[in-house]
Amino acid sequence: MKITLNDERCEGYGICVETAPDLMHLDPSGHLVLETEEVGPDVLARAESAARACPVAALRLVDAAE
Amino acid sequence: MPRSSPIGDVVVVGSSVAGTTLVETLRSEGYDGRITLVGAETTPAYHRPALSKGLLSGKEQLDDILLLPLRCEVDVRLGAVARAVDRERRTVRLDDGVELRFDALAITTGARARRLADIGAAEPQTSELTVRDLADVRRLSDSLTTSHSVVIVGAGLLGMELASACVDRGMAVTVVDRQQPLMAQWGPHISELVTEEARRRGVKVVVDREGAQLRGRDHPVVRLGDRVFEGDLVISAIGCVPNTGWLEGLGISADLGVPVDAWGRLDERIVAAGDVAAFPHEGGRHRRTPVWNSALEQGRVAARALLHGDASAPLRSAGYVWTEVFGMTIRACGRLPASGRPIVVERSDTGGALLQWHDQHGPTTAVALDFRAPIGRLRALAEPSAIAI
Repeated sequence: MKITLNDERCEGYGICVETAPDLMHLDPSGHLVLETEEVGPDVLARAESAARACPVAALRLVDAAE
Repeated sequence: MPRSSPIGDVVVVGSSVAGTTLVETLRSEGYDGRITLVGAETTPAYHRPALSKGLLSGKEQLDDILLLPLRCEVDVRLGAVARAVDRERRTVRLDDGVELRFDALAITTGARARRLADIGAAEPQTSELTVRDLADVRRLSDSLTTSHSVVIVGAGLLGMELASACVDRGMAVTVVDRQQPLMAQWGPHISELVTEEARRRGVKVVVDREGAQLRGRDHPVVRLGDRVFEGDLVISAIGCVPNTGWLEGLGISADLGVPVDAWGRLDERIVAAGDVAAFPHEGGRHRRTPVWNSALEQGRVAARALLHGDASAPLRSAGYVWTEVFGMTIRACGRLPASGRPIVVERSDTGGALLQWHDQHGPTTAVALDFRAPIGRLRALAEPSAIAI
């Protein structure tokens, strides 16, 4: 799976970072940065949890093939 | 390791973010028993705060804001309304007559818009416009295209966000409330900032201790004492009431919500989370905190409490809330409303500021005003408050 960030939606709330700090962080100006787009099976549950936690639906999970 | 399930079958009633988070957490904590998730809405759950962002402007579709479906093993029943719960027999009865037996029950049925009619402040059979769910937002979005003026009853978060969206569309906006905008939610400092900016942008803010009354069936108007306010649209934005109608069997009263302990427990088998749940608050009272981040925090805490009991951590809420109004982005952690005046911790190059409130024991509240600060930093600046418990 791949995790994607919609920059236009993201407001930098940071709730996703609290949920999955190993997969993403906020840069010093408060913008979200994904550590990697690839989501392996070992971290999939946390990536999904982070995507659900976003209040404005800025994170999506898509099949890597898409 | 999680204890092998002491709980047996779990029924979760309410499939929005609190219920979904609760199910997700049960699974990620290793629970492998049966879970049934019951949802009254026929559409899947969505990111509610996103409703007002794109859908209201008509720029986006529902698909854009759907909550990622649960991938774990769970029996999801949408369009099913819970009617009653029997504590002795441990059953939930659905509107189609089906009875679900549970060993553990999670109550996550959320809340609905409070109406002026609910508090006896509307003429009978007056059609009252509220904004809470997807259908409301779609209806409002349609109405806005043909409206030039709006009267909003309620100057809380929703009321001011609606006022902001409407004034941006060039509408004539009147907001009426008993208190100054956002005073009850955020306290005097933020209230004054927002009120000033609202007025500067042309919003008519009317504060009157006299409560607003909705009058006139076909074309409702707002009466405030002997004054009458008219608009193409009249919207009630006076908060929400918990969906507890099906919980009479548990002795739950209508207004308070489900009073739980700091783990989200009503008893050892029954938990509640999200907008319907009233967690312990300062002074021994219970209080609902119907905001997005609370639903996440409470869903996680309640799931762990079901699995691990007292060994799990009680709720320690960041108290994270935000609003975007009149071009301002305001985020807070800690105790709200914040009384008194803040100190400025830091200013940004672009005019934003990081603010901090104190009481005699130290910091209580942090607010980022047009200032991008991660929740962790805000939370640290709001320590060491009693933090919402």
